[in-house]
Amino acid sequence: MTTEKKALVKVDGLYKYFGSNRVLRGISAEIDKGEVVVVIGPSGSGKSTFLRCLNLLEEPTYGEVWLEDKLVTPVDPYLHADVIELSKTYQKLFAQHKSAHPGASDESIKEELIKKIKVEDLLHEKHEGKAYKSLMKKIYDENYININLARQKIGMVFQQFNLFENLTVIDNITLAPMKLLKMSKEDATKKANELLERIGLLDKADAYPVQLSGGQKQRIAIVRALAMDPDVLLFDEPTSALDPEMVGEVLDVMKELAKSGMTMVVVTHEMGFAKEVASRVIFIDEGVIMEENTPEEFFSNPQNPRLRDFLSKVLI
Amino acid sequence: MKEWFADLTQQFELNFITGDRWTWLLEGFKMTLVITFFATLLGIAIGVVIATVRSSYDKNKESMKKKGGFGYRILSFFNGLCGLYLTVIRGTPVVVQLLIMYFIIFASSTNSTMVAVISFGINSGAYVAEIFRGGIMSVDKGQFEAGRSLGFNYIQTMRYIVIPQMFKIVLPMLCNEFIVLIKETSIAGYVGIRDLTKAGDLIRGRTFSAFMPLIAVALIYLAVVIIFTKLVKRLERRLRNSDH
Repeated sequence: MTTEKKALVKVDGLYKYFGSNRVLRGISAEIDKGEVVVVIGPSGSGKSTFLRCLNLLEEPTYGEVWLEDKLVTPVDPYLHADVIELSKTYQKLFAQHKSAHPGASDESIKEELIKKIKVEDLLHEKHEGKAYKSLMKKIYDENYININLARQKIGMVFQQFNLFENLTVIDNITLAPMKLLKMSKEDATKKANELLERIGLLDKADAYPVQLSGGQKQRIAIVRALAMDPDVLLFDEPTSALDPEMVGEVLDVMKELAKSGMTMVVVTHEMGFAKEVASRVIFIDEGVIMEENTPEEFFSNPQNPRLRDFLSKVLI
Repeated sequence: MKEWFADLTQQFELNFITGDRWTWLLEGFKMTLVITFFATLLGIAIGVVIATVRSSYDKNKESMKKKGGFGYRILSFFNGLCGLYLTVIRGTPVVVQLLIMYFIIFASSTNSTMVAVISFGINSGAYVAEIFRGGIMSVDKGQFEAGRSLGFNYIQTMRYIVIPQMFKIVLPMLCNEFIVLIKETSIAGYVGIRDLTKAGDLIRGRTFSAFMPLIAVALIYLAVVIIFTKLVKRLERRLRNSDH
C-alpha cells in the first residue's frame, strides 16, 4: 500500500443480490472528507441499498467498503489478483490453458483467467487451498475494523426517523455516547443540550418521540447521530416521510451541517438541495452508477439518456 | 322457602364452619397462589431464554450461515432444542406432564410443591416464550437498525432498545398467562397437593355434600380471575395512554 491520500469512504466493486434480484451490480465510488455527495435515482434503482451497504445494514454480496484505511466488509477475493492467483481454481485453469495454447505468454493467460474467474464467479471459498486462505486472512487481519466500531464513525439518518420510542429525546441522544464512548452523564447531557439548542429544540429534551412532529423527530435523529461525532453521515431519504411543510426545517439543518464541513452522503429526491449544497451528484439506476458530476454540470448538461429522462420527469 | 333457606344455612355450617373447614379452603388457596406465582417466575425465565435463542437465530441465521463456523452450529443446535421443547410441551396435556414429573423424573423427591412449581413453570415457559418472541418481532425493525447504526452490538441493541419496548407490548399477555396458570394449577391434586380444588374435594369427601364446597371453590377462582382481568384492562389502558 502506498501513502497516497485515502478517501474517507471507498466503495469497490459493490454487488448486492436479494435472491435472484440483482439490486446493485458493480458500484465503485470514493467519498472524500468534507464532501457532500447526493445520490439520486428512480425508486427501486438501488440507491438506498447502496447507502445501507456503506455501514453494513445490508451485507454486500460482493465488494469491499473501506473507511479510510480500514476494511469494513469481509475481504472480496475477486478484488485481489494476488489472491486469485493463489487459488486452486486458478492454478488448475492455468495448467489447462498452458497446455491448450503453448504459444501464449504467461502474462496474457493470467490476465484472461483472472477476468474469466471474476466474471464467472468461479472461486469456492472452501476448496481453494491453504495459501489462498492464509493470504485472505492476512489481508483481513491487517486491515479490518470491527463493524460496531466502524458504525460509531458512520452516522445514519433514516427515512422513518427511528427514534427510540421507549426513551425521551435527551436519552435518545445520550444513550450511545454514554454506553459506547463511555462519556459521563454530565458531559453527554451537556453536549446533547448544545446540539438541541443548535436546532432550536432544547425545550423538547424531556419529551417522548410520540409527542413530536415528523420534522422535529428527524432533526433530533440527526442530532442523535451527530452526538457520536461521526466522520461521515448517511441520509436515507430523510425528507420523504415528512409532511411538505416540515421538509424545509430538516433541509435547513442539513444545509447548515454541510456548511460546517460535515462529510455527507445523501439519498434524496430533493433536487433543490442537491443543486444548492452538493459537491457531487451521483445518478444510480438499475444498480449501477449511470452518471456522476458536479451539480452544475449534472443538472444543466446531463449526458446519460436515462438521467435526462429522469430529470425531465422530476424537474418542473 | 324458609325451609330451603334453613337447609342452606345448615349445609354452610356443615361444610365450612364445623371443624374449621373453611381454613382448608384458605390453606388450599394459599397453595394455589404460591404454585402459580413461582411457576410464573420460572416460566418467564425460561421464556426469555427460549425467545432470545429463537429470535437471535431467526435474525442472524442468514449472515451467520454465510460465514459458517462454530457459532452458527451452536446457535442452530440450541434453536433446534428449543423447537423440540416447544413441540413436546405444547403437544402433550399438562396433567400428563405433571404426572411424569412426579412419578418418573422426580420420583425420589418428597417435595411435591416444588415438583408442581417446576412442572407448571416448564409448561408455562413454552407459552411465555412464544409471547416474548411475538413481542420481539412486533418491535419495529427500524428501532433495531437505528441501534445497530449507532454502533451498538446485537446484545446491547436488544438490551437497551428492543427488550424494553417488547415488555411494554407483552405485559398484558403475560398477565393473561398468569390467569390461565391459576386455573391450570387446579390439577395439582393429582400428585397429592392440597391446593384450592383439592381442598374443596376433601371437604366434599368428608361431608358427603358436593354443592357447597365445589361452588365455593369455583367462586373463589372466578373472583380471582375477574379481579386480575380488571387489573390487566386497567394496565392496558395505562400503557395505551402513554403512547399519546
